[in-house]
Amino acid sequence: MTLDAVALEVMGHAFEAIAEEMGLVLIHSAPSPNIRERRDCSAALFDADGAMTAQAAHIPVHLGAMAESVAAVRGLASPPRPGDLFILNDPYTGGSHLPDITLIGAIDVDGAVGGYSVVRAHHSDVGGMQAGSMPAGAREIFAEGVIVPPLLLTPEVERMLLANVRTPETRRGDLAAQRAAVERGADGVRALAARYGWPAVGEAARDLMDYAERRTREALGRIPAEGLTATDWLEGDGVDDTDIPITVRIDIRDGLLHADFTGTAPITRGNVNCPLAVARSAVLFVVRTLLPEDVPTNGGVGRAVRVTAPEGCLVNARHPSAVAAGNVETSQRIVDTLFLALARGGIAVPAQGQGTMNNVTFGGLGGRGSELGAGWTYYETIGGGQGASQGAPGPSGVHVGMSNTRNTPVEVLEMEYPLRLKTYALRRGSAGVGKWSGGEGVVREFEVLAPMELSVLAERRRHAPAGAADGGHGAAGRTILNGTPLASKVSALLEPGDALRIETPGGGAWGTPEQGDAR
Amino acid sequence: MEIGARWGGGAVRLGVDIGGTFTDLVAVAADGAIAVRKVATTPEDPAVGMFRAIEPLPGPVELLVHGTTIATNALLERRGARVVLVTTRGFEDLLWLRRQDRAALYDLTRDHAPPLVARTDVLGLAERMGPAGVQEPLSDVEVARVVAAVQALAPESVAVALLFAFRHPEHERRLAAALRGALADVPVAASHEVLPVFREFERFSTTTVEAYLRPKVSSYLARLEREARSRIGTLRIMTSTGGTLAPPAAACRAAALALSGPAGGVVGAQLVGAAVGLSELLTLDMGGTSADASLVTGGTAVHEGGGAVAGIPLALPSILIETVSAGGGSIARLDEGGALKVGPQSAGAVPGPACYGRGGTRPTVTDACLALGWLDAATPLADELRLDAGAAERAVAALGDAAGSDPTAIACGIVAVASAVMARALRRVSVARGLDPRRMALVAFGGAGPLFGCALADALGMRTLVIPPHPGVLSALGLAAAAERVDVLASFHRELDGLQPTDIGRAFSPLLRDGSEQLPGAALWRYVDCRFVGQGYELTIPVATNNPRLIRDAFLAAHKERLGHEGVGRPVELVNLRVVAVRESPLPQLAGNAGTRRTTAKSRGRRAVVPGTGRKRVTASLWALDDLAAGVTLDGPAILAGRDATALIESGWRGTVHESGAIVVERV
Repeated sequence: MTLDAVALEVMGHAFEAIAEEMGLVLIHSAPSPNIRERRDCSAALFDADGAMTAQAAHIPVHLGAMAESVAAVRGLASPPRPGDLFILNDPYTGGSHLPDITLIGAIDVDGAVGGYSVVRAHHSDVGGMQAGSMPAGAREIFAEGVIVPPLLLTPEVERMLLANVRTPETRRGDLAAQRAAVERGADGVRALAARYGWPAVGEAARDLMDYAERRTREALGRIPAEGLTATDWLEGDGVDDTDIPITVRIDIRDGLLHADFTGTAPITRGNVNCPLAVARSAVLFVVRTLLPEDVPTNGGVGRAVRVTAPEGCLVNARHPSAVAAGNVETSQRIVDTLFLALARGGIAVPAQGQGTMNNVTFGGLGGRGSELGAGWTYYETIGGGQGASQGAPGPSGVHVGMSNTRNTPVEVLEMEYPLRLKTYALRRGSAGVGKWSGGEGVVREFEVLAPMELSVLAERRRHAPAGAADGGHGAAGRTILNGTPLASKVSALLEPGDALRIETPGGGAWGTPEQGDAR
Repeated sequence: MEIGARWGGGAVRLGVDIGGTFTDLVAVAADGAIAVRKVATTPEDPAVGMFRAIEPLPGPVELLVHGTTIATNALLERRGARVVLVTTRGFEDLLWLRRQDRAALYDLTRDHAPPLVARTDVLGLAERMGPAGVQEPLSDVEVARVVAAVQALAPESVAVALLFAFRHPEHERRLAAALRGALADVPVAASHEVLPVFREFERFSTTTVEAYLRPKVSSYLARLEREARSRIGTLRIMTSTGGTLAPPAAACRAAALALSGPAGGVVGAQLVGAAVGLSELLTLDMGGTSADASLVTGGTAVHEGGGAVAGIPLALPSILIETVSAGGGSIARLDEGGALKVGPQSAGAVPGPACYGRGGTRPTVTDACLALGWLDAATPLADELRLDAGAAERAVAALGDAAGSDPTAIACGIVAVASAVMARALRRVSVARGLDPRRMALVAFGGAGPLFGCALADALGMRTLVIPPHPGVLSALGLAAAAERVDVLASFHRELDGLQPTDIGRAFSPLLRDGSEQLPGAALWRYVDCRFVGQGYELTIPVATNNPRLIRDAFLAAHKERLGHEGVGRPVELVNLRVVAVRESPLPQLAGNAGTRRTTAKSRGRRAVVPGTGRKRVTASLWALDDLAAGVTLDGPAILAGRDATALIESGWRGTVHESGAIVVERV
């Protein structure tokens, strides 16, 4: 039996409402700003077979990636029992990068595992060589923090974990919030089962995934493609500044998209590597942008998508490669590369956006001007230009691709840290020029008021975001310290009076400018 | 349409809610009795219809409280003033940068609503305040330069919004004074006056909204006051907080009128809840194009400081309202994957649902309700609109053909999908605040709300539903009953640990003075916004004490209740202080209303209906909603047809008519 038109919509709302509730419980009860304010977290429900039935929309970087976490737990020697709660962050068994800690609850429905309630959140410290656990120079995963393979979350495991991080009290609060969100998901599923009967709920979940698959295949079926290839570049791995190629070949046959990364560079010494799950999230994001907005985000979408990459390449990294930046920057470049390939096939996709998150970390060293003393860290990411589409200019000053976190207000920044903003503005003239222009990047200029450490993880400082359909490129970004341009990924010691100016990339344009069209 | 023999006889207090299609009036007489009137809105000049409707009143109207959509519509239709914004140099783009999150996660072409100001109308001012005060002084030469530049742009209104003006308003004050001196007839809104709290984007945006709306709102209110002078004792205007302001005060708080319309409904729901002894309420106001969900806890409507109207962030204190596109006019269709969607497109008032017979052919929620027998084609809506059952059935059947199902099944489907959309909104408003809907009662009102009450309560696991008396005009009743209210707030960013009680008392005293000057004789309520140091969210908690330790305890308790834990041992800081001055109105006597004037104790017949829960026809008893005597028991399935709304009690639910005229419906 398949659900009729009505039940499909009603049950779709029911599952999505539970995922939404899980997300709300997490965001409103987690103590750390990274989860509460920037919303670097995700919540999803899975069925007993490990297929995703619903995900709450927060940021795309976790899109579909938690299926690997459920698979890792289901693959344990002793399989999950009803009511079990697991934890993991190991990128090589179900995780993405170490700061992303995932909790997986096996939902007890009438004494059997009825499905899984899963919550992932980015913890602002998980130990390792540098506060914030996003070190630019890491060469092995061991330097990036504590590694948690899939384990039952017992008080002992939690104690072990908290003994290895710099801010155990905040971590404890964030974990408590995650646990509460997992429980809310399980309660929601049980309430659905009580209302409609468990077999009907299971059937509805399967039908909803079939529905999402049908919608995805329909959309992909309209854009058949054969052998679309593209290569784009990462600007160094944090150890070495040379370009690193990411190559993709896309085939779309019978409504099935296959992305193959053969030709991509092997794993690097630095931390721009990522597990295949992260590459898969990036591909799913691109597919998601090709679908109508009301298609439910569930495992059905992924059934129309296949992702392959040679073992040991940059986007299918092997233990013990470091991966911290892979999640934030390499994922962006994978998206760009896919859009580039699709555009070559004449498929209507946007031009490239800024393609970076402009990760900026300041760390206190104490001394003159610093009431906070040493040991504080402040992390932010900065928006830029979105690429233009056929028919619409690219929005300016926004996060593009795999991120969508919010800014820190100027007044908050200056009240809490020894930093002053000289300017925060759109970067005029950075947008690609064309029939539809790209979005403008952002200028953010800091004046340093106390001695501090700086780390910038960025991209698109030499390879500008490309236009589409012969549209102009967006301007490349710049990181400028006291008038001197710096590399894409850099660490430095700053003194009071130093001026750090970040100019983020503009978006590429779509189409050549016609008379009167140029902006 | 009129209900109640008392209309025209000694009305004292009037609530007037002007909507897109109808203008609703509720008159509360000296003895507390209620009378109701509904007339067509005169869209070209809404005040005309309002004054026409009160024309027949022989006696003096002591008070008229007006809920207006003028501010909301000006934002939705982008018909405000041409504004020049003056801001700190180097930060002229803040309204465009917003909070840097994009408008839609996956639709990469979608952009945010553009700001209300043209970028060429933004002027940078050479000055800078920081957390500790002046960083770059503002010179007289610079003030003169910018005043001249503003004059040269010939704006209709001016917004002044400088960094850190919430704490150090001196530069804003000087510039605003100079501008007011130079541009006599142009309003000037300064951010430290509009919203003196930190977070520049939200403050700047709110200040711009104020400048954008002020000319239009103040001229509308001035004209209203002139016209009202001869006929009405006092005119008050409903604001987004659920309290009222005198017209001159409202004229310079134009942005505070953005939710003037829906706020009345929440106040009305709160009143009805109080009458039947319920203080934990989820409220749902379902009208023609949308449904508004809100929340009453501890007998008080929940307020929020955030939010946006028409895509423009507006951070003034306001009643929490979440709007979804599910109304009687919402259009049903099949999407390409074969799922049934309802809304967001709406047939509006013209052409309206197919059954209105005004040329609409696409099936709407109202058409489905008619096809299922919930509405009665024989009873005209608001005395004038006859429903065409044949047109409704044809529209619904056509959709059924496309979906491969019979007309009844698809009509059931339309109401089920509309319910699912509303249930999700109700869940969001409650769960996001740590409140469990299962422990609350649902108040369903608006023209269509009472038809969906049982279905929504079921979906949320709620066991109690309240159908207010005159559910279709509850907003107007809320207006007539609303308290007078002034909100004042100030930034006070300090760690609690370092404070003495005298520090807190001293900080509150100017706010208390301001509140009682603006509303003499008012009760003054004090609140603080606080959080753990470094947190991004604040909780607003009521405080009756200056003792920092007791404030801290109250914060921890509130944090535990709302967020499930007491934090992580970090220090607590105050962020803002708020004073709310309230002068309560004499409440309409809902109690006794039914007992003396409502006499019907018998069903007036039976009708075959299809309940929302099944597809088989059942026989429902029919009742006259507006005349039910207190104590009458209504077993579902029952249809209660009123002149301004119809209610459906589903099988498995039993209603009891309360002496207030409200019907309390419980799960059997």
